[in-house]
Parts: sequence; structure tokens; C-alpha cells
Amino acid sequence: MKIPVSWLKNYVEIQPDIRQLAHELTMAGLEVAELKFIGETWESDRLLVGEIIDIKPHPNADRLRLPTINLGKEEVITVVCGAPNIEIGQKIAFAKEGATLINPRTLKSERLKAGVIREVESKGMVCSALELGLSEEHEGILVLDKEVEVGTPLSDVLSDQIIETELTPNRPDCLSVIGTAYEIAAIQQTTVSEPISSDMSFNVETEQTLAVGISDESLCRRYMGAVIKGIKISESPRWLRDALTKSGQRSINNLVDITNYVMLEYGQPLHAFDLNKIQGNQIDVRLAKKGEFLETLDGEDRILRDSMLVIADENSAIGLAGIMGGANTEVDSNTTEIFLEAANFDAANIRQTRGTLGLSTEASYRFERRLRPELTFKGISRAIELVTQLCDGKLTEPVYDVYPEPKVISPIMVTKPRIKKILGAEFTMPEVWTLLERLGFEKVQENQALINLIETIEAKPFRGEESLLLLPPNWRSDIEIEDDIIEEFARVYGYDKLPMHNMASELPSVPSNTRRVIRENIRDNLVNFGLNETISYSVSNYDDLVLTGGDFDVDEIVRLQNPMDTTRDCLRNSIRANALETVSNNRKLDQHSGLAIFEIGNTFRFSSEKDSKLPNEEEEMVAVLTGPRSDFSIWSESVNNFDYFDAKAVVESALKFRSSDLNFVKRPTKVFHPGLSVAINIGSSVVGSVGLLNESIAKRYELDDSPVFLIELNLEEIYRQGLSTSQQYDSPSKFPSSTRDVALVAQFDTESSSIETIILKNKLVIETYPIDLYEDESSETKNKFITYRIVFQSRDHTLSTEEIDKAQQQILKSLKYQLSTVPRY
Amino acid sequence: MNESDIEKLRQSALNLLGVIDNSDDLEEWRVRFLGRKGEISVLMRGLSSAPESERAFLGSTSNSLKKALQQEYEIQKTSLLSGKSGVNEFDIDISLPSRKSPVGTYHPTTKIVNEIAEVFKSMGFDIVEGPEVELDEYNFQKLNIPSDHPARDMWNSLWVEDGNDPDSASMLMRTHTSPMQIRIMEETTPPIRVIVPGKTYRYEATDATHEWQFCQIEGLAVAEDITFANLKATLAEFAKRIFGDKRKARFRCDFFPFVEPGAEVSIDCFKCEGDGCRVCGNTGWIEIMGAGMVHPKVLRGVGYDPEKYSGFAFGMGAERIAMLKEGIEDVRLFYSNDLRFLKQFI
Repeated sequence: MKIPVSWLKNYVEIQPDIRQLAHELTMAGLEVAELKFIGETWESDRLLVGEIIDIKPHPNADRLRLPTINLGKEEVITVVCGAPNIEIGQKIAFAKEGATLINPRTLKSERLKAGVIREVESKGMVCSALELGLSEEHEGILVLDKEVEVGTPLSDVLSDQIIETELTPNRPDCLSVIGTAYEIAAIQQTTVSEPISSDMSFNVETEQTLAVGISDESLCRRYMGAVIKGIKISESPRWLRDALTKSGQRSINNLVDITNYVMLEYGQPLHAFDLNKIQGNQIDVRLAKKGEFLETLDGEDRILRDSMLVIADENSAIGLAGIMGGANTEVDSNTTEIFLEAANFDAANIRQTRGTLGLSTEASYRFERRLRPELTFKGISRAIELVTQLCDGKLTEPVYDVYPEPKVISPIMVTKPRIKKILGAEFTMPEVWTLLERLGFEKVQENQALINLIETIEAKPFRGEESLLLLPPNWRSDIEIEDDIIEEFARVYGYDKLPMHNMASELPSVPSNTRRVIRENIRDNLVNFGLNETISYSVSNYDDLVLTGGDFDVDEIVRLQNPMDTTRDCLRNSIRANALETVSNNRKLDQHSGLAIFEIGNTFRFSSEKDSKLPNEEEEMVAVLTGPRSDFSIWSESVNNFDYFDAKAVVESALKFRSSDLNFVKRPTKVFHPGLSVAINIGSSVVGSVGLLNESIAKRYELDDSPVFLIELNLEEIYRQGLSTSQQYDSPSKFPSSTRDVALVAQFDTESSSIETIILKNKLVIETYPIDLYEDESSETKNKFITYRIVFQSRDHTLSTEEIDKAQQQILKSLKYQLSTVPRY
Repeated sequence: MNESDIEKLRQSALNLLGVIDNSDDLEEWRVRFLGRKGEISVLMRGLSSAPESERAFLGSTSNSLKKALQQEYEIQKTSLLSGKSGVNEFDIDISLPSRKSPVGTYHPTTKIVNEIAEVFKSMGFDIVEGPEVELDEYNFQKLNIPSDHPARDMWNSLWVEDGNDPDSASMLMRTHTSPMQIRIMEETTPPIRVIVPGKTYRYEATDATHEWQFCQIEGLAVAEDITFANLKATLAEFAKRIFGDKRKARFRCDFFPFVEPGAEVSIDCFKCEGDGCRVCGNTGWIEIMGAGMVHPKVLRGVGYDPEKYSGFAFGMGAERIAMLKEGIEDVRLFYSNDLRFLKQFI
């Protein structure tokens, strides 16, 4: 909300340092988003009050005129002016050549240059509100009050500061100048003088002529109204127009301006109906009938729902309660009699209605933040006063006040122990009271009359000096419990002044989060192995999920009602599509480098097996390798593309904590090339898959220029398997080892892992691995020639040649009988 | 002997060494000067004839001459050896690129989450995680944000279709990690000290400082004696550990429905030291998180007695912290998955 400091000064003294004040307000919770200084740059010898003493036509242009301006001290100047609203006798804001003004086109501060406009020289100009930075609209020149003296520096007449606050939703009271004044008063240790006293009354002896009622009392707590006659609609006085423009509102006419002014001043929205346009003598606050029709003031035809609250006369709705008036009772320049409304509507209902209709107004904004019903009295009283003063209006009947269940405010007890428990610091109650009093709290102990008024008092016993029994200020709707008051005290006292203590509380027993331990272990391993981590948006679309080989039931898909991107309207049930897209995009950015990326994240599926209605969230790891193995300099060696054994190494690296029982088994799926589709197992449980991406999927992502290897790990299954079962420490043998290389001929489909298993069964073997491989696909027999290096060692003695020979013979025998694998000679 | 004898010896030895171009001559030189009966030994033997007062000085001077000549000899010997073979096999272009192993990288979000987690772990906080799809009940209602409350405008939501009831707005992508406050308190009894990192989602237009998917880190400490003073001390310490020892934390009043009192935590600008610059928007302060004392309604809602237990909670955006620390200017870089960006976070 934009608040001119000149307006605030009507109610509260303002310290001269506005920047400091803004800082203090911000620290206390009322964030000042911007400070604007009007007139700060105005030169006192260049921007002056002038009087138009003559106007001549421009010789070369119909739209332009040549006003002559008296600037006092016998200085008279004639300039070119394009504004339609200049008249002889007007006091205006005049800028001489060199004055600093806002350029209406660029909205930036600039120095005014003399110019020649259609062959007439102009050394200065008559300013508009926009050029002076008073308004955001360009609407002719600014006309000053008649009383101001010619030649006065403009900064003496018009300069001001605007505080723009950004409010949290709990503080509707600060959507008003007076509410803000109370905040300032509390911070500056001063008081507020309101224009309306709470015991104000209007003595009108006549009878009421309207029947005002509330049909739905739950949605309208209080409805006040006033009949005012003899109104003369005209332009508002300058102070009123100024106050509104500086607050970012447009001036319309004196009556409308008053309702807006009082709303900004007190925060209570008001509405004026043209009394003569109201049908019958009945005003009812009721729910709309289903399909009821109302043209609102903005000229839109609204079809209402039966959950929406309206103000109605005998025949029809005349206003959308708390949001906008109806066109059928709009005040216009001929209006002389009005029904002025100040009401309190239900916050949630107003919010629903404005949401449904997409119609947010200054009024709805305030009501949906919950206003106090006490505010209607101040609002209507102030408006009656101003309409009487500025529109010649006369209150002709007693004020209407329908208030079925006056709100009973329960006092709230604040205790010293609670303050200590929450803030961690001790304060004396008089110290606390000093600050709370400035915020407008009332002490109940001291006011027996108030105690008597209040029906029920909380069961908490009085604790004398240890406590305060308080009533929150009647403009605050956000203070409900003791801790709310503690915050009030703390924020005015200053959060920064409150003490700091390290936590001394008992430490919780921390169960180890194995999921996280395992996941981070895998992530670390992948990064250490040289992969780059990526994170995608957790969304995808049905087609991508299906066409990347997804195998699922359509009912499992979790869809978004309002996706950010309609082409990604469901949550991913696999990271595969996301990861391939990442690879595809990066391949387009850089054709030369290989890619080795991975992503860890949640996947989402609805499952009928779950108790909760929430979808199942399962964690997954997907890695992709493609292109040249290394993207570094190739001066020393040739570079090959990533292949299956790189992908397998990624898996082994990621899962090295389970290396003892990690194994790979061929298992075709539609994601992979049928020849290179491998299940990853821990023991006998499948925990993922690795293989060459199916060509059709690769094509879909424009990744068919080099083989794409994909690794997928089901982290949930890996969590179930856990970290490795406690591995035993082995002290190394003190005796030397010997190696033997054995050349073998195996059948083509014999897996090397089965050869290895057999070799390792021999007790003297501690290690074995292939050192040479030749696969002969050409011959009819399709043989595989493989040479194994076998390392023999004993824990308790040096092995003799005979022992090793014997062991080797045993191994070759087993290989022959179990795998038909024989030595090659 | 005197000092000039030593100097003369140095001159003649070095002059001779300079013209030697074969190892035979070099060996001859060595014997002549450094040998057991060489000129230096002879010189040093003459020390005893020097005046007592100069003896120590002359001794150390001739010693350092001996060392210097020995060094020169070694250098000449090496250069003659390599010169002999014609080409030095180790004379390589050392500026060529090394044989690199690939460099893996953590995503910058992972990196900052781990860094933040380490800080809180050292203060006794456990790390827990929770679902990304949440019930309205947990994301809002149990956090004291009823339906039709204007505070809901603070969190624009991405709603999830409920298979059984397509129109209902009961499930959403969590807009913050705060629902985990409820889930944790419902499942455990105090004392509690946890942080909850995780993905969060908002229905929000993106720009350089707004993303619709981001990572939040929630914190919660509940016990019989947790106070606002603890909140201040804990978060001030956090700020120092993440942004450096010199950083001061500032606490101002702010509003979040699930805390009371509520606070916004800022640090003094590390770029301009508080003078005002582009990073801090000329205020000298940078907002880093929201915090506050857990609202009694929230405590009561999970079955805790607010007269007995109290706690503080906080929440921060991981990317925001990373952006401040690493000087990243556009949040959209995080999830664009452009490896040219991601590979910089080594």
C-alpha cells in the first residue's frame, strides 16, 4: 500500500529521518518495499508556483496554445503548452529551463531543455502531475489551489514522501493510513489522534424509512447504513485529490473520492448507492439466487451462484457484497440522495466469490483478510462527516446498524513464564506493558467496566505482577492467543535485541537413515567414477513414458490438474525419458564430447495396494553413457566410444558396497537391444538393468549416431538389500604367491564368469582374471579362446611347484567336466 | 692465507670449468680442485697459519667455496652426460594436456544441500525426507492454513488429479517441505532435531529468481525448553558456517501461519559488507530464510501439549543459498540440465 507521509502526519508525529523509520517498520514486520521522495530533486529556483495571466493561440498549431505566466518578482514568461485544461487565473506548477522533471515518455528524470515548438520558442513548461512524479497518469496540467502564492518554490507546496508497504496477509489493519500510524506510534513511542472518536453520535430525530436486514447472518456480521440527502456532486478539493493520487488512486468526484479516502484512511470499505435508484424501501443482505444476474460497476454482466452474497432491494441484487456495487444503483453526476453502506462480510465467502468471478477489488482484498466489525462504525461516521462537509449532504435519518450478535472479545492473559518459555528471556510485566500499550492494547484489570462487560473470562488465575490480562486493539483481527501478544511485544522490542542461546536441550536419539546413507554412497561413487549429475523436472507425458519402453497400466499414471506445461501433464513413473532428453539436448549443444550423466530422483505411480490415497514414490537412478569415452586431448591415444564394459563398470562402481554378491544376467526387455539387455542382481534379487538402448528409442531422441548405454537402478530394492553384510577383515598371507597362465578353448556361449567360478573353487587360488580373449565366429564350431591368469597362494607355507601343478590339474579337470572347456595346446 | 687467496681460487676454478667439454677434462678438473690433495684441501690446510681472529671466517668461506664448486661440478657432469647421447629422452613438451580421467560433478543443488546438511548434522540434527505429492491436509490445513485463507496466496499450487475424484483439490505437489514438520511430529515424541531437504513445486511463472520446481530445506527442533533465543543462536551459527565467520544474521518480524512469533532471517551482504550493492538490492542485507516458533495450534494438532513443548522451525531455498554462494544469476540454469553449466561445479 502506498502511503503519503503528509497524510500520516494528520494522525501521528513523524520523525524527520524517513529512511530510518522505514527500516524500523520493516524490522517490526511491516515491510517497506519502496520509499519515494516527491520533490527531492526540485530546484527551488527553477520549479515555482506561477499564475496564468494570458493565453494566446499558437500561430502554427491548433492544438497548442501560448500561456503567459506570472512567476512573481516581475518575472513573466510565455511558453508553448499542449494541455487542454489551461485557463486564465489558474495557479500552476511552472518549470524553468534546466529544471529536473520526469520525462513522460521514458519515465526517467531529465533536465528540461528549451525548445522551439512549431517555430515558437519555449523556455520552460507548465507541468502535469506525471512530470512532477505525483501521479502515474498523464491527464493535463496540474492545477494548484488558488491560495498559494505566486513565486513560491514548488517544493514548499507539493513535496512529499511516499512509503510503499508490502503486507503479510495477517495484517489487514495496515491496509490503512491509521493502522500504519499506530505501528509508527508504537515504534516511535508516541500516540495517534484519530479523526473519529468511538463515542461519536449523530443526533437525528426522524424515523428510519428503510427496512434494512441481514438474511444470512453467518456471512454478514454487521451492516451499517446512512441515508444522506442534498448532495452536490462536484470535483474534490485539492487535498483530497492529492491524497488519492499519491496513494495511487484516481480522483472521480467528491462523493466517490470520499468513500475511497475513508477506505484508505481506516481500512473499512464503503459503498454509496443512489437512493433514488433503489426499488422499494427494503435492503437485504442475502445469498444470490442460483443464476441471478447482476451488472457490476465495471460494466460486466455477472451470473451469480447461490453461494455468493449480494445486497438486494425489493426487486433484485444491487451490489455484490464486499466486492463491487451494481450498475443499477450507481451514483452519477445527478445523484443527490444516497444510501451509504459500511458492512462486515465473511472473509472466506468473499474470497471464494472473488476467486470464482475472477474479480478482485480493493474492498475484497480487505474483507478476505478479515476485518473487525467495530471498524464499520468508524468508517461510516467518518464518511458521514466528510459527505456533510464536502458534498453539502445532510444525514436525514438515524444511522442503521444491524449487528445481530455483537462480537464478544475475550481478553487474553500474558504471563511472565510463557514469555520466558517462548523468547528465552525474562522481562518485567511493566516493561512488557509499556510496549503493548503503545500498540493499542487495553489492560482489563484496570478497567472494571470492561470486565463487567465481558461475559466469560479465561479460566487462568490472575497472577498479579506475573501476568497481564489484555484486550487487543479493536482494529486488529490477528491477535487470538497469548503467543500472538508475545510476538507483538517481541517485534516492537526488536528481534535483534532479544538474546541468543545455544540449544541446551536433550539430543534426540538419531536412528540412522539407511536410505540416505546408501543413496549418497551411490551418488558419491558415480561422481567419483566421473559421471555428471543432472536433475530434471519431475514431470513427463504419457507418450514419452510409453515410447521409452515403459511398461505400466494407464491407471498408475499420476496426472496434474494444472500443469506448468501442458505437454508435460503427468508425473514421471521413470526417469528414463528425462535422462534421454537431457542427453539429447546436450548432444545438440556439443557434438564432439561424450556424455556420462546420471540422475537420482523420485518416480510416481498410483497403486491400489496402498492405504493412503497418495501415489507411491519410488527412488530410481538412471545413467546414460554415449559418444566418445573421453572428451580430453587425444594427442596421445585414439579415442573409442563408450561400450558395454564402461556401463558395467559404472554399475560395479555405484554398487561397490555389494561387490561380493553383484552379478549380471542376460534378460531381454523392450528398452534395450535384444542382444545386450542385462539384469543387475544383488544375490538373486534384481536391482536394475544395464544395456544398449534400443535403436528405435535412440532414434526418437536423435541419439542414433553412436551407441547409447543405459543403466537403471531400482533404489528401493537396493535399500531393501541394504549395505553389505559385515565384511570380515583378512590379514594378508606372509608367503609368496605364484602365477600360472592357462590358455583355454571354450564353447562360444560359455560365460567367462562360470569359468572364473570354477577356478576360484580351488582352495589355493586367491585370484583369477582373463588376460587374453579371441572369439572365433567364423569356424563352424564357434569357439572362444580365452587365457586366464591364476594366482596361487597359501596362508601357511610357500607353495611347492608340485602343489601348484596338482591344483592346476584339478582345475583343468573341473573345467573339462563341468564346462567342456579344455586347455589349448 | 687470506680472503683474496680464496677468491682467486674461485675465479680460476670457475673459469676452467666453463670451457670443459668432455668428461676426461672434467675428471681432471675435479681432481685438481676437489680432490683429496686438490687445491681446496691445500688451502684449508693453510688455515692454521692464518691469524687466530680470522680463522673462523676464512674457514667457513673456504667451506662454502668447496660446496659451490661441488655443485657446479655436478651440473656440468649431468649436462655432459645428456649431451653425449644427443637427445634427452625426458626433454618433452610439458605444456601438452595431461592424460585425464573424467571429472564427475555433483549437481549444484546436491552440493549445497550436502553442505547445509553437514552444518546441521554437526549441531545434532538428523536428516529425514518425505513425499513430494502431499495431501492438502498436511501441506496446508495442519499448518494452520485453512481453505479460503488469504495466506494460501503465498503458495500457488500444482494440483494432482485424484483418480477417484477428478475435481477434488485434495492432493498437490508439496509447495514447501513444511508438511514434514507434521509427519515427523505425528510419528515421534520430542526431543526432535531434524532437517528435511527435498523437491518442492509452485504454480509460478519462471524468471531469473523464480522456478516452479526447487529444493527446500526445512528445519525443526522441538523439546521442553526450545526458545526463540535458541532459534537465533542456531541460525546465526548456520549463517556463519555457510557464508563465512564475519557474517552477521539479522532477524525481523515476518508472518507464516504455522509459526508464532515469525521471523525472516537475513545476513549482512558479503559482497559489499553492508554498504549496499546490486547483490543486496542496496539494502546491505540479504534474505536467506523464514523461521519462527512452532505455532501452538500446530503443536496441539499433532497431539503435543504446547504448555510443555515448544520448538522452532525454519525453511530455506537451496538454490537461493547456492546462487548467493556461487554467484549464479539465473535460477533457471539449475534444471535446464545444460552440462556446460553443471560441469563447472567440481
